[in-house]
Amino acid sequence: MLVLGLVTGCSRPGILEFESQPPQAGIWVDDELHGQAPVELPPPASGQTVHVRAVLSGYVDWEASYDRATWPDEPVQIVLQKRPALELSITSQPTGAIVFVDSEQRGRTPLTFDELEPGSYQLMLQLPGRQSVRRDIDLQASEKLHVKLPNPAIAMYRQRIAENPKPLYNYVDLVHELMLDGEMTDAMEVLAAGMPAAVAEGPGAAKRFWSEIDKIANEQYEYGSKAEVSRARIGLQAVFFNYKVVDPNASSLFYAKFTRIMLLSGERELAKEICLEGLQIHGKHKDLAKVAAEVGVKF
Amino acid sequence: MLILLAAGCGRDPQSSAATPWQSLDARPKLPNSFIWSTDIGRDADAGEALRLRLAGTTAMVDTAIEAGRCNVWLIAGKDQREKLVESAISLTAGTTISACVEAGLLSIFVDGQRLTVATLPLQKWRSGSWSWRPQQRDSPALVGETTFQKTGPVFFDEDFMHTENDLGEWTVREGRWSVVALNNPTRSANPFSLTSKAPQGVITAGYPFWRNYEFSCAVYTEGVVRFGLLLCYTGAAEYRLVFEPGTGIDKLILTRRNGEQVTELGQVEVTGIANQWTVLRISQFHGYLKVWHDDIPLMSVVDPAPLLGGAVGVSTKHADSVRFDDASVRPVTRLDMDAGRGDPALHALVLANVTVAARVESIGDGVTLYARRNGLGDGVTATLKADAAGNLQVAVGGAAAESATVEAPPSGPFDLALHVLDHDAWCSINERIVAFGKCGRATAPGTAGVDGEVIRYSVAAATPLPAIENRVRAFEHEKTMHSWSGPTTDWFQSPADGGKIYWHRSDFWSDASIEQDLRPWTSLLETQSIAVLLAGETTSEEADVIELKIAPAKAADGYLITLRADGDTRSTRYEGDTPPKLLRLARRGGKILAWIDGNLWQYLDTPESLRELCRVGSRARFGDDSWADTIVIGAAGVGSYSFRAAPVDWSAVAGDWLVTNRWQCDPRWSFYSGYKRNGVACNWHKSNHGDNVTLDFFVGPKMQKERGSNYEYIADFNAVLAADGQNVNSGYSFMLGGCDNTGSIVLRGDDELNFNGAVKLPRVSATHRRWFHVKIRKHGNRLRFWVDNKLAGDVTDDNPLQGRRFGLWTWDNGMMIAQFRISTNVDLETAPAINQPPIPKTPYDTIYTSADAGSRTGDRM
Repeated sequence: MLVLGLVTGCSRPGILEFESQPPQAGIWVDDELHGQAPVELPPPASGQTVHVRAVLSGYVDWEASYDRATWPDEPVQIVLQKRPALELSITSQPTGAIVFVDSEQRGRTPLTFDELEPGSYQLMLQLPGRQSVRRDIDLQASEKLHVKLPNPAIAMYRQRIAENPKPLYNYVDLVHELMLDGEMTDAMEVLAAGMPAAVAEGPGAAKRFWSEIDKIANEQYEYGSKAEVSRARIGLQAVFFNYKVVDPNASSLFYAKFTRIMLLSGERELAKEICLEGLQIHGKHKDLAKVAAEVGVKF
Repeated sequence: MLILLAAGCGRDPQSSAATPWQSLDARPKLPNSFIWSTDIGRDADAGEALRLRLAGTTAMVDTAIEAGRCNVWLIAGKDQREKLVESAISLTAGTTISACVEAGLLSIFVDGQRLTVATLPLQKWRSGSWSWRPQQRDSPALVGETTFQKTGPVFFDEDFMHTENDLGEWTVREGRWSVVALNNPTRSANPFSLTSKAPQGVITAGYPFWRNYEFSCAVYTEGVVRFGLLLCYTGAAEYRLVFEPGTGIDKLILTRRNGEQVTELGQVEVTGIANQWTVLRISQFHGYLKVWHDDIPLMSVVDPAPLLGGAVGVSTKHADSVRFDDASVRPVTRLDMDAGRGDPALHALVLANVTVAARVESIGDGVTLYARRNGLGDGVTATLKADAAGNLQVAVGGAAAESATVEAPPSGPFDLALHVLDHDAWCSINERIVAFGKCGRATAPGTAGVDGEVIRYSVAAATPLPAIENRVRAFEHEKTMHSWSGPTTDWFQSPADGGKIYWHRSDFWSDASIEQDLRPWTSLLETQSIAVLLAGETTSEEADVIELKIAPAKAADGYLITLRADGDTRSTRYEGDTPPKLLRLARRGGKILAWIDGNLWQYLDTPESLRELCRVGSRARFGDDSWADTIVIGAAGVGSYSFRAAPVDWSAVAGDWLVTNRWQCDPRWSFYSGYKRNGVACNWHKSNHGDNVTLDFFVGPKMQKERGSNYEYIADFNAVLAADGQNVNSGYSFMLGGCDNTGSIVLRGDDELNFNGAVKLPRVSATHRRWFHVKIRKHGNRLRFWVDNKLAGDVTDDNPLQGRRFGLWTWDNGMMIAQFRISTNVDLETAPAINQPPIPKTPYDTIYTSADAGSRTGDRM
């Protein structure tokens, strides 16, 4: 309803109706709620500026400031613009994690929500055997989210090694978990850290350590591509090369394993050289003798 | 209903303005849920007031505390003020007042205990402020400090995979605590647990702002000892659920402590807790407290003055006698309402995907179940009522609900349910789907409940059928373990259709679904088709197969999606450069359902051939094994165990059942095992099975090199079903290597139904690393027994046993269980605990004595 007042020939601003499309938007004047549209608002007092907002869930706020001079003389039709639906894509490593949005289970990764309203969401990703990961997101534009779920075994073995660096089996199990997680660089670092003890302990006590190296070299892990197999073997080569630098008199088993890795890597000539080095240091030890025959070294 | 302010019903904080309000803490932006607290520094003078104001989109809320009253006002506009609640309160020095805001609810707490709760409109509270109105302008400050804490759903999982001295996120409150584990346990079942090393111990995890959650924890007691679970622990207050052993009667007692004041809220008798793994669960949701033991609800109480929140914890009064494992905290997403339909707690359960289930006595003027109701007119409903002609009509969906005539349920009370999942809704009567609808624009979370007269009802988050566990990741890459945990171990390749068809090894007797992720196969779909399959018990690969297939559209862009079922074919074109992301095919509630990208596309009645046994399959030529990772199988009535969690679903009654190393020569590999020399090792599952049931498991021998290096001793990898849960010889026993490994035997109690001398355990050194796959199916009165996918027994019992319990057993031996799966036509719910004989009777107690060993002849297979 439009109320016009005529006093001594001048038009004065009057009470004005504010409507909204869609209807029932909250109409706020400064910090006070006046009601849901349509509402009638009185004009600002002389010298006063009022801030009018129309607010509706799912729509962009409409705002305007008025003083007496700018106060409209016709009902105000507010057309609210719908907020665009947003897309949220969630992937995880490992895949298949259960996704909770706020408190609801909504699916498994990879998962895409394509009709989310802007706003804040609390995400939780959970997978048996993995640490759950929580993410609070304030979604204002479409997003892609990748979450890595930590493997608690990795933290546990790292801590075991920190508490007592001697037992080799902790290195072995840590390497195993790292390889399963695709953390090949870290796995090689752990192998390198365990190598001095493995060489010192001899084949019996370090059996699992050498066995793990065999597994990595012999594709017991499913690498997914030839490039990854090659990367794993190059990583092992680096571990052995680096150790040989600090301990050229390493055990015969060390040289035998080293030779076999070079052989598996297609480096036959280098394998021969390494095998020969080992034979020169240790003589025709049984570990070396077998691999020497394979690689074609006579000593 | 709005009421205009009237005198005598509490002061309006707007109307008395002796002095202006002074802001204590203002926030221009608020999260979805939070706790906003203020500490009272001194006793309030008469006329002083505190106010919390929240501004939303179409409403404001004022919480005004003055003159000994706490009033919560809802303000919908100028002069539109409604008083929601009023309570007595005193503003005294040292008091902390906390306002907890969650979707649809405002709770006021005084010193951590709820004073009052008000139901709010569902909207985002955008800004807010705590203000103080002093008596005089120069009054000394009333409030010391305000604190603000964002809150949200609580998730916490702990399997105690730590080193002995690392307690992770747990804080010792009393005594000494330690993690116990096997050495080198990771390539295995998970044997980590937490135990107290002192006679008296309390340990907690979490924060004071954890609210409205459910806490479960597995417990193992050695002997009958006292222990407890703590909820909402803050140091000053807590809920404590204590297992109190008694003479003849054990009890669970629930108390609330606030400061020195301890109030018993309830107690209940309980059996079956001592000397076995068991799981206790307790939830608190706006004062609704509920307790479960092994998923059986035991106790429900309503605390009229619930605690604000806090950490979880466990306690014990005995060192080394109680082990705790698999602690889990989750938001509460289910409420069972016997009464109190207007309870604020129900208003606080705001969900998008929801099942509303009601027990209905009679339809009367109609019953409506609703979900996603948000106060803006949105919602999804299922309305059941009789039309003028007396026919029963049900309308399901959002604004444009679809109406259908349905068959009237049998006389007497019946179950009516509304299921809302993503874009779809459906209604079921007595668990049979009767109508479908679309949710339309009602996509956002909202409240759920019932309009109309019902006996009782529940509201629960709806989830897809639970995905069945396939593999243990730690073994996936171990080629020596691929026989039971390889990429495609769960699947059998069919020789039909050029080897393109794979059937899942499991039988499904209840609802089941198969979902194919198509995203990795975009290139393949340029030239080939991919299909997911359902089939009943048929020997023909094509007969009665239901197929949901996507293929490149011929002579056009896009894809053709086809559902072929029961002699009928329905197709649709899918336009676009890329295929849909997901195809899902399910048998659910008596219907076959087909989804494309989470949208229900087709549904039809389940054909006769699929009413009981259901198999799921895949038809495509993928090229490598990675396809198995792109399929998710969901199923009801299935329990799948690789024993990485505590075996709380099992009741070991004879022998040693625990995680142990399989090989004496290599301690890395540990599995769940049963072991007993010179007697029986028996482990019952705690649930009942239905008329139809399938057990399948991977089993290997426990290495006992002192008994022979070539496994000369192995025998009796046995399972039992249709039993009474006490004696093995009350049921059907399926024995692999029974009677000192003379063959495979099916027994009815003590009576031999079938003997197959050709299927034995190989007593050779090569058995060292072998796993044997045993599958047992009871379909009505027909019993079948496979070993490594070869039929070892097939018999019909005209007078089938009526027992419902199943388990594993061996005799004078050790069996390692890498994985076990039960599938049946009922939900797996824990059966009531029963008294156990000292030693369960087996067929060896009667007909099979040691004198029989090696004397068996006559293959009856």
